[in-house]
Amino acid sequence: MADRSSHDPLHDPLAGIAFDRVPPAGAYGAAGEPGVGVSTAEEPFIALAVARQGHAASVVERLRRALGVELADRPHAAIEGGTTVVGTAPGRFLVLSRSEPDLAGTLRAVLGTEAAVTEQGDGYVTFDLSGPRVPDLLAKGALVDLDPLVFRVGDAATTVIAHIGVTLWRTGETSYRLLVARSLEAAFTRFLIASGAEYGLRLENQGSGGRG
Amino acid sequence: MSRPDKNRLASGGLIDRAAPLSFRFDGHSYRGYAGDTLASALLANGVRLVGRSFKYHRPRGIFSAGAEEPNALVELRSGARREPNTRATVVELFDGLEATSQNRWPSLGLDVLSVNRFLSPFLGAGFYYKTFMWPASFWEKLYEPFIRRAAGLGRAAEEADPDHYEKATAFCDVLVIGAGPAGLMAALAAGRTGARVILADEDFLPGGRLNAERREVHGRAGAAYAAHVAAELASLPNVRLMTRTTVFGAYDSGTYGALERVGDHLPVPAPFQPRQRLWRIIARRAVLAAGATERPIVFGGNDRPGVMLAGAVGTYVQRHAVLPGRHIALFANNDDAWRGMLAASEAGARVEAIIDVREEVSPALVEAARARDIRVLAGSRVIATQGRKLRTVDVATPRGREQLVVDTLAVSGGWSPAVHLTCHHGGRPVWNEAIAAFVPGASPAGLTVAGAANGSFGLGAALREGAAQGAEAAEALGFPVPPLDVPAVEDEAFALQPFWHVADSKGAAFVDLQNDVTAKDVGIAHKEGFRSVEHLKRYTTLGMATDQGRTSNVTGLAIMASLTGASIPETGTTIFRPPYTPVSLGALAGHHRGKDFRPVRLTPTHEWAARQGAVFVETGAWLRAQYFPRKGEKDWLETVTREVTAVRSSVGLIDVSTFGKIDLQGPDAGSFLDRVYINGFSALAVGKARYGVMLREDGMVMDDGTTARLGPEHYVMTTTTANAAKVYQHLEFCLQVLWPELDVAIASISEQWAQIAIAGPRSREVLARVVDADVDVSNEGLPFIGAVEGRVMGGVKARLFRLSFSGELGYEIAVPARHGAALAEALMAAGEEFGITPYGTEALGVMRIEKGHVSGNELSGQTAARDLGLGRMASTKKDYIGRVMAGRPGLVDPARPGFVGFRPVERARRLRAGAHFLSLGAKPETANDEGYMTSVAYSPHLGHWIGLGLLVRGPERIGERVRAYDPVRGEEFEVEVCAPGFIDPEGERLRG
Repeated sequence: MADRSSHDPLHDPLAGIAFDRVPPAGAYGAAGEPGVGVSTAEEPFIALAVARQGHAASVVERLRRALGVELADRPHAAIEGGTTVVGTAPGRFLVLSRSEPDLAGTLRAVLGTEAAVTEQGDGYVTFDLSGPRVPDLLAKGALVDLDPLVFRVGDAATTVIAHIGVTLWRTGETSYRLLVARSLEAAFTRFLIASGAEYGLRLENQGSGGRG
Repeated sequence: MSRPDKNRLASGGLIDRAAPLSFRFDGHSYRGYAGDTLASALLANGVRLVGRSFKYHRPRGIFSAGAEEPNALVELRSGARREPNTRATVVELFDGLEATSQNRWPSLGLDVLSVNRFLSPFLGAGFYYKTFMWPASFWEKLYEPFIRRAAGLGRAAEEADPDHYEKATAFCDVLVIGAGPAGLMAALAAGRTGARVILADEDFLPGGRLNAERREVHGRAGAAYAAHVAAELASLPNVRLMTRTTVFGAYDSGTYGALERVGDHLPVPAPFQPRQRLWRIIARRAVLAAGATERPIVFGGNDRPGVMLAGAVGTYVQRHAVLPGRHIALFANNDDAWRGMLAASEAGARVEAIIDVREEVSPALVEAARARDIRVLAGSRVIATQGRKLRTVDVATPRGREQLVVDTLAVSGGWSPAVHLTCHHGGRPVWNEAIAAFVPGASPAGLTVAGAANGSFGLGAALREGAAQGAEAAEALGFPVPPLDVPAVEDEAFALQPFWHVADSKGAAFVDLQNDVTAKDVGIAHKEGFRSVEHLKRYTTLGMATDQGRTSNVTGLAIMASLTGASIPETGTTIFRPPYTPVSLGALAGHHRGKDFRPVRLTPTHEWAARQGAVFVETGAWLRAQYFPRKGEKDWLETVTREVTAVRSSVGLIDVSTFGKIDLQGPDAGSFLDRVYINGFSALAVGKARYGVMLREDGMVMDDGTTARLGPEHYVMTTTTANAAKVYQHLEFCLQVLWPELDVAIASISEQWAQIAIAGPRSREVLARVVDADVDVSNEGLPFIGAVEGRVMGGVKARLFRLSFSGELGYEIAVPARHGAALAEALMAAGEEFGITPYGTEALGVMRIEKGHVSGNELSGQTAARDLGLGRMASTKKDYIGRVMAGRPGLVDPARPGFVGFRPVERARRLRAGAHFLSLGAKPETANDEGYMTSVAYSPHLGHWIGLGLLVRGPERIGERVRAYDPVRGEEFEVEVCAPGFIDPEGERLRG
């Protein structure tokens, strides 16, 4: 009976990986078709719009018109083309864009004095999770109900996973997008690998090491 | 190797005879089968002596067939995976299993400490309290080591646990706890409605008593019916069937704790599988179908290997096809035990006699026993036993005494419903006279109880109650309930005559086998006045440890009741807290151990700093560069001194991204800041920053930092690293609860902006080389405490602040975080000709101490602004949080310790943070304490150690000498009180 040490790669998918670096891209854990795929990126353009006092409804309306999204003031991700708007709290919306370099400027123009806009594109790393076992993996960290029977495509949650603040939404049948603070990318990736190894996990990232 | 399986029946049982397994116990090899527990496999091999008892080291065998086991505790596995006090009755056998007995030396057969038996008159109830009181000095040296060696059970592993554990959360509509007949029907009834159902059972095989009895359900053997229902449940997508999963606690709002033993039944967890998984199950409704636990009758010599619960005998025979002994007798007070023994006899067990305390027993049972050639001794009781392992039993019958030659004595005093989870919110079980047992009282909201756990011992009743409650739970949640065909099974009679203790028996009569508590100990507790059940438990230890008194609580309090003359309901019962069975700490930690204990945050320049050779330090969740050693430097002090000197004489840089950064916008942002800071911000000019101090409601300082005004309605606040989240929460609370009328929007921008500070006389020249051409960083363009937005490094957005923590000319440059490392590189290149030096948190600390700035050590939560010399900042023209409480007499007392500096009178002395101040000549005692040193540093500028601290009336005592007293390091010497600013007190360097 061979005892596993912390360097036994058959049991510890993080064996030999520095705890203060983002783990490198590659396949982790069980062999075969991975149950979870993870791909991380710096989404270039993210801004946060916080409705000023009494303007939540009007902000929803303006964003809906300007961005063409089906938006409501609830934890939901409205996706239209390259634009996503996620409600993270009453009157608070994270806007992601693939194509709008001056997203904050655009939003300021759209929302005027009805909302406070801040740039957030450098504050987050996006994790795109896909595969049949994603809900099982997320259940190991999240304390909210992400059962696919209940958490439908487009549903969003701003919560804590493994002690790390996360905003996530379901983008498809078996795909989810998560926003994690940049400083916590390594820690969050370690959680994903440790928890997803039993299903097999494939990680694709920029391999920058520290996102510096 | 002993003859394999000598006690295994030729057929039957729920074992896989095609899957033989080999295992070792105390070094001997044995054989068992898949489907065995360690206990059943040991019995199959004729191993009956498995351990020594806790206090008296008496030989003990296997007593039960489940989680209630008090005796058969073994060490499982070896090396780093060694696990003490494992109940052999719930260990699923695997190939290669290794177990050893515990609490014996040198061997199980010959145990030197068993002489404790002869000391037993001295080791009784209250032994610890009476014996180890005096003298106190003996405790550490003598008593504790003795007790640990003599009384300790297993040995914990000495190496780090090599396995991985994890935690998970599941949500369901209906949680069913226990997969016996009631639980299976509850899950089926709820599952067929489409509700999300979780069915959890601690066993590896669903079915509960259906696997242990010979009953037919729906025309199938009970076990086959259980398998059939389990298969249907497994096929339903809305049902999760969790075996090897113990629901151990009921918490608030429908939250249940459960432990899934994912890899415990394997030699080593499968690759990448956790050993155990801790579940938090959030259920809208729950059905408790945890069954019941049999309890024994107490008599002299009732602890010999071979004395076993009657239901356990039945389980071993029916489920494992194992005969626990060759010649079996039953001692009971109820019909159920008769039925079990008759069934065991039909399955091939040799039952010699049934001893029943009742004079009258159902004629049908007596007839059936006689038909199987079993002697019936009615109105009789066991009064003594003999043999190291049970050999003979003395019975008192109405016709006199006689001795039976048996190796196994099955015992049953009735059954106690497993009410544990119903108590977890404080519910008290209620005595039910008909079954002489406690049944559930008030249960946690949303939890109902079905079957034997509810005191409904009939199999038919269990099936019906389970089905009804499963359906009812789903229906209450709005699920349409289709009709369910509940199997009609006859409800067997449950006749019982309460009987607890053979008072006239000979020899030690054990109530609690695990803690070696005897009936006599209960008597001692009674005599000495410890009569309440709570006192009884603490004084005798009855009902403690891994089994939590499952087989002993009721008998213990019944004996106490007979001594006091009170009824059992009057005597009452102790109640149960979580966990139902032991939970390993590893499972509670899950992924979060070692370096993953909590998430580590990395700065934008982490990689860059690592390349510079930084040594990192954990500051809160962050990993920050502490210092940057160079080749040839002999210690950190030399490195830090070089870094400080470089800054003071030229220029250095440090990543300060870890500060909390909060964006505030809106017409009321200024007045909002006026209310949260003690000083004013609404009049701050656009393009300026200001140092601010905020208080808690109680008047103590909460945090400090600079806040800059970037526009008429736009401010950016910085907080200390440690308090970033707390301050944000505080502001959110103020806006949502205290002043919802204020029109201010806040957002955390801590992660968005990387921020690097450069400091030193050459810092302006360095800055000038990284900003874009249109940014004026001259003394006029960016004066002290100026704040401007501009661009750096050819078009990168930036915010520039002229601020200083070090006391030198300094700037903080914020850029979007992805450009942080590039900014560090650019500054290094721009400052190369000045020898620009990266510095870490140590040098930062040295310089702030030299400058006399307060930091985390001083902002301890026990200091008021006045104490820190910041009282003059407090505005008297406005209200702010903490103002009233900061004015209370205790906080404005002039005798409070105040913030001052210190230097050693003998300049070569090293100061120590934490040293306390005493007046010269005062005795070192608490009454003379005058405060303490909060921060110290070696000042390269002055060439000696300096300190900051809080001294009673400190500011009035500048120039005085006091003693710094450090009993931890055994140091005491004189220090001189000085103003808390050791360098450039006029601030000329800042403004230059």
